[in-house]
Amino acid sequence: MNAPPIPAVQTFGLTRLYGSITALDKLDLTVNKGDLFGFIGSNGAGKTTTLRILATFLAPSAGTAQILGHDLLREADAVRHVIGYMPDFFGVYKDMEVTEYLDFFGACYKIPTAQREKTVNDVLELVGLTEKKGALIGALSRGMQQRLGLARVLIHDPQLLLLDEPASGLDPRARIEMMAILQELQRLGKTIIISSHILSELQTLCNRVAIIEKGRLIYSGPVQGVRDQVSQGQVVWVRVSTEPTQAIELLKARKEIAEVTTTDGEIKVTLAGPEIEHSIVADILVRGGAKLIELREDEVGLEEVFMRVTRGETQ
Amino acid sequence: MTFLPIVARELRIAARRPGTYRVRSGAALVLILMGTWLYLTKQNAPTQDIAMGLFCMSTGIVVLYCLLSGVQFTADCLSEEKREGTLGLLFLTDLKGYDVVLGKLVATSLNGFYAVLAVVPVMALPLLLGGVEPGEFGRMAVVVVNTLFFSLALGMCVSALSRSPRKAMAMTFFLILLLTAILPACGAWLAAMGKTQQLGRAWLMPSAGFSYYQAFDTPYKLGEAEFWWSVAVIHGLGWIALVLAAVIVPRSWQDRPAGAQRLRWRERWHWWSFGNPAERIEFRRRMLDRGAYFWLAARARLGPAYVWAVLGLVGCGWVWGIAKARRDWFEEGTYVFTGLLLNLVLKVWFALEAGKQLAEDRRQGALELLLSTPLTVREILRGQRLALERQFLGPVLAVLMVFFLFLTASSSDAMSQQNPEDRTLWMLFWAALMLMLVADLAGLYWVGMWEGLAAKNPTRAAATNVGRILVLPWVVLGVVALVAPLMWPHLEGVPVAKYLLGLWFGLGLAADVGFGAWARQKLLAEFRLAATRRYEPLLGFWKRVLSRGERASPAVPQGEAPHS
Repeated sequence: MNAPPIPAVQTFGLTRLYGSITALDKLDLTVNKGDLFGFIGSNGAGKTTTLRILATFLAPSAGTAQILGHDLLREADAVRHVIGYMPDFFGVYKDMEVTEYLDFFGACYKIPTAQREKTVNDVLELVGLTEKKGALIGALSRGMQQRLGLARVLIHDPQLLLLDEPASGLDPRARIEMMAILQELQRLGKTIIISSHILSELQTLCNRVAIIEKGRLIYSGPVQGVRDQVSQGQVVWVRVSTEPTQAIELLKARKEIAEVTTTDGEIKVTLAGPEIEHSIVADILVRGGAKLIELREDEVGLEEVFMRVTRGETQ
Repeated sequence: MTFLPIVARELRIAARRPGTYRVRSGAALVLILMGTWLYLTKQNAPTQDIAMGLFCMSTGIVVLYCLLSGVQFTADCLSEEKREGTLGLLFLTDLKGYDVVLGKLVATSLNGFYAVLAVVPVMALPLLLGGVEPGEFGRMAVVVVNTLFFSLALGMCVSALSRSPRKAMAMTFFLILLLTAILPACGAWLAAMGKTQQLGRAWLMPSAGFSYYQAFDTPYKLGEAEFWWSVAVIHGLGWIALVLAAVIVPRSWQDRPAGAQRLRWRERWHWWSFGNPAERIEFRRRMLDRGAYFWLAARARLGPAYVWAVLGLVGCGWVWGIAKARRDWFEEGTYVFTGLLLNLVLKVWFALEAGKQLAEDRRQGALELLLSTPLTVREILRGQRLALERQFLGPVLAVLMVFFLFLTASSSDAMSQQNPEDRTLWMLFWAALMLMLVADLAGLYWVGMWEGLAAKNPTRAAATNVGRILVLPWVVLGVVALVAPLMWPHLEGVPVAKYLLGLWFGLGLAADVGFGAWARQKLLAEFRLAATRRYEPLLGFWKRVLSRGERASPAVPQGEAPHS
């Protein structure tokens, strides 16, 4: 029997008002230890506000949170020791050298002087910036500055990483490299909460996601779970080497099949219920004499899920 | 008329700014109050004298305001757009340099023009009283508008060249000072040295002060042409500045790749400011051990050297003075000038530095990173204090030593020309100056830190700090000095120097203690809250007052106690 997951972050009715605007509305969220947790929402949905509150930078108007066993409001100091926060826009002191920058933040986290040099070298190696250790930050590319931001987040070996749009503004290669680093960090046992607009990447990267709109939580759970929720019946795509009309006729004649349509030579088959096996489609076609070339399950992408579950409302 | 879209945009921004409305009513109110005071104090004087006094005072204030308008309104208008990257967007359209410059000029001159428009009726009051000729009033109106145009145009030109707000404002102020005061002073000095028979008119023509003086009836009748020449020269300088701005601005908005030579110079400057790699590592280790924020605020290792260099310059001035004037140099006038100069330089410099790091951190978004680390508010404040001590402690002690020497000299028998009462007053003056220096620096530290956190930008933070700690006591002192003769007419003829000194000291100390304690309390209790306020919509003054108590700010995650 599997042990129940241990929560790294639990929020209880987290609310934040900006004047008359409710940026966050009674958010109840749970992120388990070791999760790579995607935080999804439109601009102004409340993602950044949530991360700022969890980073102890902003105070909630109501509600609280537990972070790795520490109360957010009463034990903020302890929380700061166990989290690493990377905002979407952060100042990088352009006239500092890479090593100086990390050494400074190491001192902010009270890492002993004797250990700091080794720690700086280690995190630089982890994010692939060893060759740039003597460079001025102002001379680094955007991608490298983002990596430096990630190195800063890791300097005190936090257990929880809060990353707000870490891949924004990066080119495809830098983005892929950043995602690889995050996967490596998850493998090392870190819990990571990441907000991003690049849903296709979150889909492959994250094991759990939360969708938020107008400050309210719409969904929180495994990626597959939300897909299952939004898919209206199971869909299978079929290609046959013969004329599709015959195959369509065969399929339409069966009560297990709810709908059959064609798109660009492919046949889209919607099954009548979730209990029906996909293999029935192959069975019908082969028995009916149609030459089946390809049969694949329709997978609803995270982008489509997002579009279906949200209304595009902003505040 | 392609500049009109820019004017429209700028006017829309100005219409939303409360300052647009406050400036014109404030300007008229100040003049009305001062005029009333002058009228009440000179009630027994002939009407013509009252009228002339009122006219001199009101026009003098207005011309001074117009002269400084460039620093306030235009010095940072183009440089700000450069910093924020919006100037480039304008040049991606069909707009030319002159469109942008003219559009900006029209829009930024709005506040200054409104203020002048509001005070012109007050300026015209002496005309009704008699004693001021219509021609005099007309010429003064020309001087006011001309000075306003010149100052705004000069600010625009400097802004086209600059990127940093502080440098732009300082350079504009220096150029105005150069043309208005330093050039005439040089001319006077040359004349005094016997190099010329009389003060050369060429030195005076670009000075707004000269055209102001020439606008009065008596000097005008003696040299009508000189007035018009001065107005023409100042006007011409304004146009030259505008043309230069229009030529420079399309060439200065882009970040150009630095050439090899420039890169070499940049690297040398970096090494010079921060030291070679080995020195930097050693310096960093030493300072980080004393406090992370200390290193952040004090890492430019030459900070103290610059302060010492300025003190050294004053020292050189003294060496030159002693060589030139021998024993005559050692007199109260020299001491007072030196004392006030050192006092002013140190305090203003300290005020600029006090909240700079915090304001910069906040502007760049680095404060968010710092506050998500376990660095406590007390550690940040301590780091900044240590950085300021590193930069200023030595120079301040040296200046205090100099003041003490002046105090000793004032009390010595060498000042035999003074009577004992005067001597006591001088000693009190130096003692008060020494105490005020220390008290003001403490006040500037706390208020500077708080303003660095709360003000819109680093320039405004420094300006507010200077305004509260250094300027406000002088303003109150000035008001008291103006009102006192009205309230206690029997005091006329009584020596008031001692009372004024006491009042100055008391007001200065009250400002230091009052504002300092207020800022300290705010910093220790609301630091994190203030740091997050940039994410909240700002309320206007009246809305803040009316909603006080209704909209309590959420508690900040503490962890560290409010005073930790």
